[in-house]
Amino acid sequence: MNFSKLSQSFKMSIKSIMGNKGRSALTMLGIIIGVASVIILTGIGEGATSTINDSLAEMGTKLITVSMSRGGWGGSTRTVSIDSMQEFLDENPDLVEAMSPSMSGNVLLKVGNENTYTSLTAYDSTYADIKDPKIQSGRFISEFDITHRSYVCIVGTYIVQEYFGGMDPVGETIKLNGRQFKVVGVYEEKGNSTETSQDNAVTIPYTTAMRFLKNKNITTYYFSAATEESVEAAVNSLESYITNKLGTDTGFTVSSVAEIMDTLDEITGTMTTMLAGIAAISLVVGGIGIMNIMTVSVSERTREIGIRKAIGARTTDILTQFLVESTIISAMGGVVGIVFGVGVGQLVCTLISMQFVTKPSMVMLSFFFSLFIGIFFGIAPAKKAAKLHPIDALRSE
Amino acid sequence: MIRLENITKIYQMGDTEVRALDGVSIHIKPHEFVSIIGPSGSGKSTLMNMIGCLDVPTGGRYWIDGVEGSKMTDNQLADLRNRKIGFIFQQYNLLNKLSALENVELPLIYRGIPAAEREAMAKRALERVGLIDKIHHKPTELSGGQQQRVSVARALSANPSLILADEPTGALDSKSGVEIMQMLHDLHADGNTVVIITHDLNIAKQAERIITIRDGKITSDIDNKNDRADATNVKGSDIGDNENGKTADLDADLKENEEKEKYIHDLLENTSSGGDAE
Ligand SMILES: Nc1ncnc2c1ncn2[C@@H]1O[C@H](COP(=O)(O)OP(=O)(O)OP(=O)(O)O)[C@@H](O)[C@H]1O
Ligand SMILES: [Mg+2]
Repeated sequence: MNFSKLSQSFKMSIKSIMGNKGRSALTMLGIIIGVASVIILTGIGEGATSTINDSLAEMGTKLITVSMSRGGWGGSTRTVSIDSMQEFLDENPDLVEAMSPSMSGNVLLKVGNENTYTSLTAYDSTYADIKDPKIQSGRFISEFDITHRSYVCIVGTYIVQEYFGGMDPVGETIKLNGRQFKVVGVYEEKGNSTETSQDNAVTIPYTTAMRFLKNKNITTYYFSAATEESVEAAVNSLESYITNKLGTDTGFTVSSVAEIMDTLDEITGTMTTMLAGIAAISLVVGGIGIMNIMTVSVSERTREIGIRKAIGARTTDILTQFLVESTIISAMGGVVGIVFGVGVGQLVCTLISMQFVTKPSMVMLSFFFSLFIGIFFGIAPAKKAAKLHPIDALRSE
Repeated sequence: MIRLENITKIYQMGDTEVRALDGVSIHIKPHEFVSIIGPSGSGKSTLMNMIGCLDVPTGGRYWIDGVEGSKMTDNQLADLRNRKIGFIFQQYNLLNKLSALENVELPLIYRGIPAAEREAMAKRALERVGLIDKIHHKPTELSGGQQQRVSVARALSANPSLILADEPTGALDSKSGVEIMQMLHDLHADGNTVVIITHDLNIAKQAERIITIRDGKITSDIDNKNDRADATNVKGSDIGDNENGKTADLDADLKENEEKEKYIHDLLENTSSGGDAE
């Protein structure tokens, strides 16, 4: 089999595919649907994964959260003191680099004569080292505020829109549960500045909050791991430290974004593989379609095969001709399927405002897989054609 | 060139067996112009398929240029058909999706001849059969006579030494038939071996040697060199390599001239009556 012959059978195949457009298109359909579904399903899977990962990464990949919970029915919340947590921070500089206690609740907000409930969070000034608080104007809580238990607050954009008419409120005062607070900063918009969004929020120093809310129990601590690699060690270390302090390993959880991301990656990875598997099955079905049509084509073209053999086509010439044909059909189907899959996937994902990810590796994989399908399922009919005896083939109608 | 010895071809049709060829021995020498004549169903096509290495016999042996057929692989047989044999079929057997030029190029493709050279050869062949202005026509856009000329061009494009024609004029009107026969005469004059199968006595008589076949058996093998029909402009009649010794065993019933004429006439009668009987 030399190159000239191969390029010749390529030309002949194209001719025969073009000469039978309707049937060729039908044959391709199986492959098109198969490849397109591989592309769409994996694209959506990957898109969802990266959307989730992006928003998790937004939270900070080094973030570690310690949550205290109530121990059993009616049991009181046991907690580890701020001093103990500070001690952990000081003793493990290679694992963690910042710590902030955190409290949260709802408060009655009063600006002028208007009242509303808003969600309140309280942090240490060190919170800014753990996570960028994203202040658009003014400042975040300062160390001074913490030590002096200042009555200062940072407000969300909903409050700015609703009570200050969009004017910069820094320097103004608001009332929280009847106490006057000075606005020192404004958060960037997080949601859409509506009442139910994250923008209807107020943040105050945790020291102020402890006095103001008359609650000494801190239920949440935020840590920042020293490096992304130390997250796991820091989580383990914190767990045993807290277990030691509390005398039990229940009633609290230590979690990290990295850990959640890993778990999610695993779940979405499995899902993507599963989706790809289902799609691959449709590709195989497409391949069987190719085999079917090629077999029909061989019987329809028995006489042609006979003529070719009579004038000197070798077994391998016929074999290659049919193999090349089925391979071209499925390769064309693969390309159309990829274009179709990417197009439909993009469109659908835009409509439902999701992310769609086309990985070049996936595109290559599905293309070569369809090529393989064409060869694999083309072999049987091609062999059948090649094995025909010239005289029997010539006699057939 | 081709030698068949005691060739049989048996088709098993349920319980009965059909002896399409029954102990046929022929020796076709280079540069001969042989016609094989016989009634319908006598085994002519079967015999041609044997000579052309398209079919394998049930029994007997055959040699092509000294090589025994049964010892050749399928690929060797394919190459042999490709290089040495040019087929002309009654039903033309052209590929309808290809143009005249592409049809003529086909055997050259399988021979592995590069495109440019191939095209030149195919065009030369089409020029020779007078179809140079129709090279891009599909077979369905050509008349029967033109299609058969394309198939003649295809047979001669690869420059084979043996031209095998199975009722080449069978589907043609008499004028086209004469044209095709003229081409075969020309090919013979150029030194090709030509074997033509027919049930038309007028065509058979144009050959140098007439073999008659009935019920799968050779019934006569006659030297017709001196009595060739002059219906056409016969060239190359000077080619004479008929060695009496070798043909003697084959044409045991070599006849005198009048006898021969009578024999063939008888045969013709039989042919038509045989045809009616079918
Ligand atoms: N594939 C086959 N299966 C069974 N019998 C066959 C087959 N091919 C040919 N025969 C039989 O063999 C015999 C010879 O057939 P062949 O085609 O050689 O005849 P022919 O001389 O060419 O006839 P015609 O002039 O009609 O073309 C016939 O009786 C035919 O029925
Ligand atoms: Mg016949």
